[in-house]
Amino acid sequence: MKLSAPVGLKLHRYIYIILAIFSFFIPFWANQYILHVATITFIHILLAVSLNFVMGFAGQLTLAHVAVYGFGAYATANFYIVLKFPYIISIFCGAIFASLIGIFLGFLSSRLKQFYFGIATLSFTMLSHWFFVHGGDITRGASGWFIPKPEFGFISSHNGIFYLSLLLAFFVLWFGSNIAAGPFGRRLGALADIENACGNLGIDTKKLKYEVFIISSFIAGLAGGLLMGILGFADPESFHFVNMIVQFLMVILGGLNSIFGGLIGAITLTGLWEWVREFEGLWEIVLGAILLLLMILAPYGLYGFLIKILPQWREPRHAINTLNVNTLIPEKINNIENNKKISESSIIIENVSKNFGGVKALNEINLEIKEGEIHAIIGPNGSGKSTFVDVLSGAVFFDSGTIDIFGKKTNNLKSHEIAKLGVSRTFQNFRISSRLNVLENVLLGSNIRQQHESGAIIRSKKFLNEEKILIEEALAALEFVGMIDFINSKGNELSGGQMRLVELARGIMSKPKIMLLDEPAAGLSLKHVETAAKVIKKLRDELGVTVILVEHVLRLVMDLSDKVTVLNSGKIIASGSPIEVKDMSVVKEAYLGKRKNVI
Amino acid sequence: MLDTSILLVNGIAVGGLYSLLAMGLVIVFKGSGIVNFAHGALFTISAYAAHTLLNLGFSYFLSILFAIIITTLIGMIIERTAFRPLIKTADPLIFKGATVACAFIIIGLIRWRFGGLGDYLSLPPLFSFSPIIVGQFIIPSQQLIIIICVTLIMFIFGAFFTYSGPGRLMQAVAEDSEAAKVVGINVDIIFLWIWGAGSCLGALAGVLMAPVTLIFPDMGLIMLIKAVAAAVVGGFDRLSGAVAGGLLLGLSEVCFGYFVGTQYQDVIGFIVIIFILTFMPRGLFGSKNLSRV
Repeated sequence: MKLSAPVGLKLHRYIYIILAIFSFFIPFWANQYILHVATITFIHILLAVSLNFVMGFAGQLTLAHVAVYGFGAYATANFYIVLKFPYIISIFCGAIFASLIGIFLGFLSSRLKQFYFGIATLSFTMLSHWFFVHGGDITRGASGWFIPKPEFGFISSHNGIFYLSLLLAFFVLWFGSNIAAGPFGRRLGALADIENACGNLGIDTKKLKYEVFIISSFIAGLAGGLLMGILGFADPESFHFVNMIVQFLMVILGGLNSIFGGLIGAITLTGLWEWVREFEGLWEIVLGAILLLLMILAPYGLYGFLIKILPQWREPRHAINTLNVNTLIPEKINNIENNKKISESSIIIENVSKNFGGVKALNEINLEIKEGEIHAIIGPNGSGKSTFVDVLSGAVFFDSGTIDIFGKKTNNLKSHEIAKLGVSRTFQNFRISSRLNVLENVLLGSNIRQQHESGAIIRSKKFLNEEKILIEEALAALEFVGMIDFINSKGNELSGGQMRLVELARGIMSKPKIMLLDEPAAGLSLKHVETAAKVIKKLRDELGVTVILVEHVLRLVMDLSDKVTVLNSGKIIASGSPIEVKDMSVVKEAYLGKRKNVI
Repeated sequence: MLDTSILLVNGIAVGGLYSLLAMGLVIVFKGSGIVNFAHGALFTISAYAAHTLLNLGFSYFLSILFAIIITTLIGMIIERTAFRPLIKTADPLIFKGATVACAFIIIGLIRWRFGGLGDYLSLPPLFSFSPIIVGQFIIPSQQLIIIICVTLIMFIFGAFFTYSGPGRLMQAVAEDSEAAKVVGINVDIIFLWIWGAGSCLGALAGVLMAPVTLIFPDMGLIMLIKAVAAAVVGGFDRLSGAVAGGLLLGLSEVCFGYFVGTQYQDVIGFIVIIFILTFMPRGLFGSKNLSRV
């Protein structure tokens, strides 16, 4: 069977190809001015796509993209003029240098969030601009640096740079949308919307941030090198903060979180820019007014507007057309070996304590959890249940004691490392990415299992086959939780109960050995509570998963669990079968207070 | 001794202006959770307004008063057009884009009305008197005026927020707008006041600064970044932190400029921001509940 691309990806590819073919003939008829504008458009496409990777896909508010662009340009100039490299090689060397700046930005973004990162990058842009002005022989200062026209042999210099830009822009669009339509795109969506859940999905957010900044900076560096070639002149004002606003505008105008949007934004803005030029001194007002109107009327850009009318144009974050996949393969998820070994323990907890300031959230906890059982943790508010789950899943480090998961000590392992041991969890408050649809959210669960990810860029057979299997599994998992009809809904279009079910499906996708469920019934309707209960039972009975269930709904706990542990003030006060625990007086006291003898 | 005194006085005066601007940023940030990137443009507009009114024949005092009022109103207009309609999207990127757009429009209008990059206008000083000499200290008059005014303004605003009814309402809304709504405060109007108060501080800084430097359309951008730096140093959520941050930045800039070279003077702010943000996530004076990492 041929594995065809999703509809959205196909549609965009047609546009890329048509544009490339059309552009190929521009030098045959155009004058110098049109050729120049077209080249600048390609450079802007590179910038918009690369900025969109960081800002739209990964949700990192960078204001340093223009600095990266500048470093790429000046590095290219140095390689080309000072070191006398051929122009094309200089561009790539410049881009590699820009990636080094990207590493620095990745470092900043791994330490700073939201607008603090914005401020740090704004400062970096100002600092870079200062350096471009005062850089001495490296940048040749405010008066600019003349750059000799590069030679391309049989075609003229202008045409050469034009075709080079066309080629690079086309490559970036093509391969960029390939990697976006795969696990990398999904991870970025998770990073942007649900960073606090990334660890439990096995995503190393630090590494991911470095990756996306390096990729984005490399592309921006290429754009810088091309700009040097076409202008024949390097001056700091091309990399002033104002130009950051222009780049920002391209991404917002085109549409965040989409490569196709980057393309639309770049073309529209370059056209607009040339038009605004006629207004002489008024360009700031016109540009500002357009930006403001856009923010108010269409905050999600032209792409956002497009997919509202034509949803099939949405840029996918999965690689296979889901219409072709046989959707009814529920047994697919059963291929975990179902060897129940009730006697063996999956988790051994010894003397674990966790303090928050002076509060002992967990106080010398000792507990053994057997493989394949549903183990409920109950207790009144503030008894340490959530801390218990956080400690187990690595969201919080514990102070003392040891935790063994399948014989491996997890002390100070990060959450993404614990996830790789086969521990999956759901959250008390829903963590579903709104950039991804339901199917892609569920696919996030299989992130740790994806082996042939590197094939995504060229959509290799291996990668596509794997992606197909994962999608089938994801569909089966969605079928399992009764959410199969919603695969194309966006994460933020779901109700609370539906999000919970999607989270469960995502958990199943990671083929966990242990599943931590943090209040799975909280906020669910009665019907959904039943579904959740069925899913939890299935997890144990059919998939052999050890389930740790933190829950307030006692009926659910009593019905489902094999063993119940009661926490109070960070201590275990009772542990045993549901019936045993139910009648213990300590448990009643913890919940209801001490009973006074009335008579 | 002469050098030291001038450095000190200069540093405090410059730092005081940064503090005023930073306070404006912090007020709006606390109130509505966004950094107003149009703050620098408001600063610029007050200087231009004062200049225009003065040329129209108003008295010095009235020009400055009206300039401040006009700027405050413009700040409120920005709140109505570029903040309020966007609350439903709640995307920080969108807010940022909108205030940047406002800054663009304002700067564009100024450039269109008053000329382009190279046109510098001057505003005469409020009082002119010869430098005061205290022992071995020499205090230039303009700097002295700035220091006195900034101190006064800070006390007035501090008292306003702590003791007056409207000030307390603003604090309540800044602390928790949902809760404020529940107890019957008209949050909508208070947001407007908060933006007004923030813009007013920006305007005050503008008219104080104008006589010392010249007036030009891009004067706001660099000052905005300095103010952000001061606010960041101070932790971004406390007025006192913003004041301390501004003074620290002003003094370090002036000293850095003197001992290392004036061309490096503008850079110190940026280095300070990146360093403090990266290694001291709460700033020097920020409160504990500020999470950045």
